Amino acid sequence: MFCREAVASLSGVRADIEARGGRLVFVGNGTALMARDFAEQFGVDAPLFTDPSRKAFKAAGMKRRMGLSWQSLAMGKRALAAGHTQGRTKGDPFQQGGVLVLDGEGAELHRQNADDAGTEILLEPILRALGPAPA
Amino acid sequence: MGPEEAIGPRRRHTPAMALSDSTVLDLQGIAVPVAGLWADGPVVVAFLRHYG
Repeated sequence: MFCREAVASLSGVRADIEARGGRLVFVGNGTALMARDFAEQFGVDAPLFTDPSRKAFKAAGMKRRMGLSWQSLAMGKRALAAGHTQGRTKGDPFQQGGVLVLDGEGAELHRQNADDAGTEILLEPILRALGPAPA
Repeated sequence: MGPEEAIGPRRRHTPAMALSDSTVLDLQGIAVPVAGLWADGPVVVAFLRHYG
């Protein structure tokens, strides 16, 4: 459910990202077929790539750990209330996600590393890292 | 999300160097260099936990 919530949350500011000259892409883990099914089922319209080896996840500094806690249960309630139900896990259940904002040379402008399942993505810092939208 | 602060104003470090050597697969299963993701300008790369 949390991956669906992340997609919905970031897709909601995709226009703002693009207004700031940025581009939104998603990288999941699991097979290309799993990614394709996910994209079709949930109408992911930003580019979606997948990293079955999780080498890119590791290179990006994303954490791999048991990601369940009392806090994640509370976050699950939040996601469910927003209509993001849990499906069968496809991919590495221990892999945590996050967000990197990179400039056109690949230099890091901002990062968010999820410590736990359901850690909320903070949108405002992402937009701020891209700079102001032109007036 | 362990919101490490926005790295600013610009370019505090470049961990993307390790990332730039990586590849990911597109939906057809074709390998794509990660470095291509920012070839056209700034990019927000959202890493998803899994598909579920």
